[in-house]
Amino acid sequence: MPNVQAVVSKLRQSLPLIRDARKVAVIAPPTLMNHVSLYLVCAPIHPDAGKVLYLSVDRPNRSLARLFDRHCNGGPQVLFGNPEMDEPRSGEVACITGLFAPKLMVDALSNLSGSPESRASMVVGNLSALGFYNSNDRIKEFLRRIDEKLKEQAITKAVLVTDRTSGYILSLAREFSEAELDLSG
Amino acid sequence: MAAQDLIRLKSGIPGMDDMMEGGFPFPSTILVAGGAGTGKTSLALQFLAKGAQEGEQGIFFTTLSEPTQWMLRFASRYGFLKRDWFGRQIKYIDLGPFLMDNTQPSRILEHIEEQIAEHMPQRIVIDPLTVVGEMIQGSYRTFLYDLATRLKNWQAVSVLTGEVLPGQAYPVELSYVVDTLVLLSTDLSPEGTRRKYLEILKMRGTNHATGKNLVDLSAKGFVVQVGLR
Repeated sequence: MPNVQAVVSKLRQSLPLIRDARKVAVIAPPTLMNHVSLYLVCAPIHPDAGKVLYLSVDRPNRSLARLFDRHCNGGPQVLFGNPEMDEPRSGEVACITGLFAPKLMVDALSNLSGSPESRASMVVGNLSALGFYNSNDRIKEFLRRIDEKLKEQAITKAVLVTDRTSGYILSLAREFSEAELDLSG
Repeated sequence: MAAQDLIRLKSGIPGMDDMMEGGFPFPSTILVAGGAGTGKTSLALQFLAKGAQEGEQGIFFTTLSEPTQWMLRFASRYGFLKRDWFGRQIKYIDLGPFLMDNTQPSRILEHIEEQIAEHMPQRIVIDPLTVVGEMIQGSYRTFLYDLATRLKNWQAVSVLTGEVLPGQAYPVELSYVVDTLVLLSTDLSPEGTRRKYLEILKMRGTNHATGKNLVDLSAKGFVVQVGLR
């Protein structure tokens, strides 16, 4: 498996390739999901002054918020959040979790993305972990609803972080995206 | 559900991965239990060394108030460890002084998580965890449950070592909260030499080998003689 330095370096070099795409799939080594998610949340790839919604499939807000807070130096401010919380302000990251209910994550997304003037981009990680808890149809529906939010312009950008553990979910992510960044090799 | 395999990290112990479908499930918590001299710390170091070799980050938390130089002095006997890894791929963190001043479980957990958030390791060792049980105020079982849950949330494989007391099979309170239980033991051969054994008692999500397997522990580290009993 590629090491941390190699992955972060490749990610840094490849950012221009995904900066302008609205739908992006990032294939990450499964043991480096934290590093890749962190980088994607903090990196300057998000329009609208960096307001980011992070949909965490398999990790609770607490540890993620701590991670983002600690490492996003000069980047977005992280909110300890849940779907009931207030809309994040510009330059903030809101974490949303929903292991067993991807639909709820998308609903929360609508609430948090705010007014059309202050739209947010989103990062999902780790998409493939949804496969442990949800049917294929449910995952497909989850992506369809994200696509819908993009069309409605409720969100401006969707970055799906996944790994290669599920061939089916990987193919869904690829089908969904306009740009792909493979960090797993 | 979509069919998916568990991700596995190689243990770094020759022979052991063959006993468990290729390695420890990632993320998961492993209890390595055994009496004095059975090789708990050696196994844990070998696990971190494998990670360092693969370019992963590891943290070795010691609870024994043992300065780095003492640990390095003993560890230098092992061919599998490179001194250069310490401070880089392997962070050595002495929890001893913190535990002397902080006995509240929540403070201890916060402190451990601070270090993990800072270094973002894929491999974590807490050696020996049983010492913490003697020092904390409040429920040790609740602390262990919280610890195991939080460690997994950080997306790492965590090896916790536990001392087995005379007359005890393994530390029962720890065995409930971990995903994997590896038991190290010894006996005396008829010739009077002490033989060492490794046995996987429990491993969630894995078809693992059962029964005691003979191990060699030398400067090269642990080697499991799979099938030799």
